[in-house]
Amino acid sequence: MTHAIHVEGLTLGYDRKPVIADLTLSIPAARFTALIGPNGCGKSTLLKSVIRTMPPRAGRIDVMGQPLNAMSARALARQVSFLPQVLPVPEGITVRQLVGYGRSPHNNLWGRIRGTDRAKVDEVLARLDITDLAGRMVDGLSGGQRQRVWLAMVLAQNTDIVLLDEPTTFLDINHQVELLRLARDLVATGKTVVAVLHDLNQAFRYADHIVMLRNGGLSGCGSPDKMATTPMLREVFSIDACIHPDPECGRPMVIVRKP
Amino acid sequence: MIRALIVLSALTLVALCTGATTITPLQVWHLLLAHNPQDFVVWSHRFPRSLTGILIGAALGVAGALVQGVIRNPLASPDILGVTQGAGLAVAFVLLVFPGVGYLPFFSLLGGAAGAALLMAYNAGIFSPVRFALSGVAVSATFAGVTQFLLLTHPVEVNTALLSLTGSLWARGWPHLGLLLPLIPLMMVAMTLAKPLDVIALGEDTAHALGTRLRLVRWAAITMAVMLTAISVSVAGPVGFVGLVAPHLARRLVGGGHLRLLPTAGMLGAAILLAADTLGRGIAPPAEIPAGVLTAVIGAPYFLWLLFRTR
Repeated sequence: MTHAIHVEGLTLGYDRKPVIADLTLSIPAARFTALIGPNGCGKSTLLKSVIRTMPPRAGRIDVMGQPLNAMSARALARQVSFLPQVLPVPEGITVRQLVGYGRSPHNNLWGRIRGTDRAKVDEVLARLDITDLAGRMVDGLSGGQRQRVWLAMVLAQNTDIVLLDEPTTFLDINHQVELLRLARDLVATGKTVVAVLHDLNQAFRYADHIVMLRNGGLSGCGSPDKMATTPMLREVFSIDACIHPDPECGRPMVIVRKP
Repeated sequence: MIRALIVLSALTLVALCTGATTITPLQVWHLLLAHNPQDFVVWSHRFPRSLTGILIGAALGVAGALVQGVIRNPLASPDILGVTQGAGLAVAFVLLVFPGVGYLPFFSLLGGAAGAALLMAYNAGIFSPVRFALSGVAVSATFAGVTQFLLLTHPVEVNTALLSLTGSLWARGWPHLGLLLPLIPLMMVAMTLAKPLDVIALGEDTAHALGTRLRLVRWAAITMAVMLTAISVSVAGPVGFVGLVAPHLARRLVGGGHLRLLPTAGMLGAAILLAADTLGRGIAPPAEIPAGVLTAVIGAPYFLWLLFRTR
């Protein structure tokens, strides 16, 4: 199995207190990886280090076998896209413009949207079923609509690696399922998806690979079957839970025990 | 964008007709074609003065759009950044303490950069829009205070200095246009920042993820805004609020895409300054109200309203 992202001895953080300490970890290529762990364990920070918002204090990051600090900003943006957890509300731009910005690593100095760019924008708008929003202003959308529009922007970037920071948080259940299925579709076309997820059952059902983080370190990684265990959940989340195969497709399902 | 251009052209025509003696547009046309150096109304006076106003107003509008874009703060503008007053102080210092030294645009640049650097250092790390605006106002007020002190303590040279420091286009003409020529290439270069500024509006993480070199863009935009403002101040003195208001109006007209926002902010900045200057000349000729006073009278309440709205 090849690695899409490999980090070694990675330490990240702001001041003295590191958010991630001496982390070594590989993300398999062409798989759906779910990053799970309690709040503040460094999941988002880890994703941000891959897009270089968060410079490492120690250690190295490789993307598709290349060291991150040897890649140009544009080259990286053609390989890795990122959906942030908190979405700013840019003033005075339309949905189509926003999604078009996803093409910026591919277009010229002026950001001109040409034929191939326009085709890609139309394709992702249709894929996410938001073609009718194309002419609307982004600052007038509801929270759920905004999340999908930003996701369309990320998909328009058309990268091999897609990083999603809590993509389901502001979505209704139907759009959560839609997003997770979309992630599966992306993986089926050979892309690597890494998502921070809070719902353990969704993570175990849809992801191929689970990475559990706790206190800035790795608690374990592997297939959902291997990771979904009572001791593991106790260690990472301090919960007492039992695991049953779900009746629909037999993937591990977490049920919290009575106290 | 075209509407902004039409407004600007109409204002230019009004500016050429209005003043101590009012003339018709047709007469203006003939006088412009005549290129007569003996024509003291249009060719030697109002025409170069209007061009000066257009260039300075445009530079301030573009500078404001650059700063607002890169700092993602509707309250930001070169005057709020301390650039305008910093440049004004430097000009006053040179004029009053070392009269006859010259190189005003250079010193203006130095003062403007110092103002920006001071504010950026104070706000490093923490980025709250209101804190930023308030500290900028404080820095600007301090610079303006020191400028006042210099003016009061140098009564002999005060007249020449006042001429340069009131934010006025009075007696600005052909010789000043030469000093302003660098503004044109600067504004054209600023257009290359349109795409990165669009992406910066989507937040720092997304800007990174879309391949923007954030530090480089920030540095370039602030530097260009400082240069545009400082060159303007060295000719007209500190003209407040044009850099704040023009980008706002432009955003309402053409939306948030900087490829259209930057030129529109420039045209509206030019229109605002020209209108202020024409009004100042036209209210009670032959006396004049400096354009900077009028822009402040309109701009300051607008700023208060923005501050009130930003929570």
